[in-house]
Amino acid sequence: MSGNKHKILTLNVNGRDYDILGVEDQMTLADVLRDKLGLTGTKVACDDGACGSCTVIVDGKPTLSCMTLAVTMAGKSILTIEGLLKENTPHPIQQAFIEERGSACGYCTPGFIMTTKAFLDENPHPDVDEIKQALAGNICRCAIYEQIVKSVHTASEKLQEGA
Amino acid sequence: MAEKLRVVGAAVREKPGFEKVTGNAKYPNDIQLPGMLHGKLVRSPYACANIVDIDTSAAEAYPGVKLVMTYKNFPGHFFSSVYFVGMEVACVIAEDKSIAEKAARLVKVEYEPLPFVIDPEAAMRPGAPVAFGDKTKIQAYYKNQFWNVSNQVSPDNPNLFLYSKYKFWSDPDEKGHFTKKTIGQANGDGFGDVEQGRKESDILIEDEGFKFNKAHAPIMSNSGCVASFSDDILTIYMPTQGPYMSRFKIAVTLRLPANKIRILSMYTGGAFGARLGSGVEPSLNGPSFVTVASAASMKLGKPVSLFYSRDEDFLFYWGRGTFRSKVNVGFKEDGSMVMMDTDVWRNVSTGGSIGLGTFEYDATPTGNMLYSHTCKHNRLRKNSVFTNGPGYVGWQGFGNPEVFLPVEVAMDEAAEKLGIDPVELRRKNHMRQGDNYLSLAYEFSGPQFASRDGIEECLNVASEKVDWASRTPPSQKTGTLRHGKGMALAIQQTGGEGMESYAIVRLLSESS
Repeated sequence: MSGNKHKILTLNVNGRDYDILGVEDQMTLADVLRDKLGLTGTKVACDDGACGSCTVIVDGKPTLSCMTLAVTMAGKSILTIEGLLKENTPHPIQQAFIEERGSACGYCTPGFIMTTKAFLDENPHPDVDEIKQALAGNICRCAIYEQIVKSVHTASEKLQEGA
Repeated sequence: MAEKLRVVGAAVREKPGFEKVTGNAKYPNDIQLPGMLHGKLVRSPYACANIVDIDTSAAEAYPGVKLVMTYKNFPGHFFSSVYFVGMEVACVIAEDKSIAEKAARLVKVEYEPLPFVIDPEAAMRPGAPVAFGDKTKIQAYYKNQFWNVSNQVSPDNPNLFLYSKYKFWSDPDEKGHFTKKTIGQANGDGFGDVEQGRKESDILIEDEGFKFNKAHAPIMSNSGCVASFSDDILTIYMPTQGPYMSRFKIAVTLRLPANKIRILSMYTGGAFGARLGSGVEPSLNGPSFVTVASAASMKLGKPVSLFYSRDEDFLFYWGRGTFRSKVNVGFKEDGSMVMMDTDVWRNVSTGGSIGLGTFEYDATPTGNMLYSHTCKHNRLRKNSVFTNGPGYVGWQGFGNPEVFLPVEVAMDEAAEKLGIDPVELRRKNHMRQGDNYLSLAYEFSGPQFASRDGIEECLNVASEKVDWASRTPPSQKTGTLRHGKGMALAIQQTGGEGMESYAIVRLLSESS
């Protein structure tokens, strides 16, 4: 703890370098994104690595930000839900979640969307079973999984059209 | 009106969809205000105890701590007795979360443990430990509220709560209208004579149901709020299903005019009943995060953020509560119902959200109402029991699913014994248009008449959709793995239940 009060941690988030002061060793990436950078789109629900709500993408891989120490993230490229929106135009995955109503209370939605982004980057033409497998680490308490799976399917179609 | 309308007939885009998928939606625990302080609650490790003393000096001396709240400096918010494991005894307000957490561990509390009772069955036995050891203090709190609990506890057993202030409608007069009565022994009543009904019945079915305690566990775990008092206005960011109800209760508790309180509940992060009027209840379950955070903000003049962790939410916030029900039904050989007698026991623990309000809803529109068509002898008795738990609140059904289960199982058992198709048995007995049915709902609801017979339609549509005609009765099935079809009736928000709502429509001059 402390000793780092005056150290600067540089994180690359959504394509931009942030110099962050006062990051303590025990702070998680989720803490820093939310409390230091004000990027509250990344949600913390279980704070225990069990629900996937805090998922962000680090160097292309979906990562649980509540289980990741911020100080280990220097030099890596971090993408959060805020990074998907370009000039007020939703990313095709976000558009698909709006159209298919893949979000109820919405608290788990950013985590689902970031998991989907990393998944579709690797597998652009998934079938339903592959989608379910990919989303297995994300929990939706409102239990609208049917609409979420549809959203991911629609997103994959949208991305194909765009490509 | 041949022209194409822009709004009427068009699909409506879900309004907050964009906000939610972009992460722009601000949930209460996303709120960050300049100068905001953070609170951490200190909780009791005992189920029932008196507090001998609290020493806050070490916590107060910790760098970054702004305020430590206990029953000494905030009476009415904290108490010198505790009634469940996890009940709040103090709150540390500090510059950031980790300081508050560390300082909270420095608060030293000396307890005098008392006997406690967890099991509602045990609580109802004579001589059981009393859930609220020192009632005088808690009643003082109650009296500060707008409830008067003193005449509502049974003189025979202090763990039993009597709804003496509530009235209900019972015993039809010569015109067939129910008359207004007071519930004496928390036992609702009904009409006819169930003992007579037992004698008139050809067959009797008995069934019991039990629901164990569950946590709602909305995905945004944190029960809590950000309270900001500035320039005589108290602004509260909180997840709630009832902002106006909450505002009223906060006004009464803090003695602030309601028009000086703003409640902003933009996104709840899931609720399922858990956030019903959350945070400020005239219940017995101790202080509430909203009034504690508000009082701290009013004292310090800074915004105060106070949220539960996931662990605290699971363990110390109210869940659904245990519930036991017993159903006795009597039929004639032709399948017409003669008698229905229902008893329910609600474990209210230490109260809970919306006070003890779900008590009114418990079992209200279930068997006694739903199958009242030919039933001449009808009785529904409700009991609520105090125990040392963190309280309860309704959950998607509000005291109804707990009773539908045993009622519908009894209906199926009866159908099998009588040799009548389960759908036919329901068709024969369900409430019909014009029926004057049993309703124990509200003191302010008048005689209830079924206005529309939608049940017949439901049965028809459901039978068709599941191809009921092709069903094999359970008696003709063999093997260890069996598949089957079943039919059950359920109804909600009726029989005197119900919510009111209204909308304001404004047409602006440029036609929007």
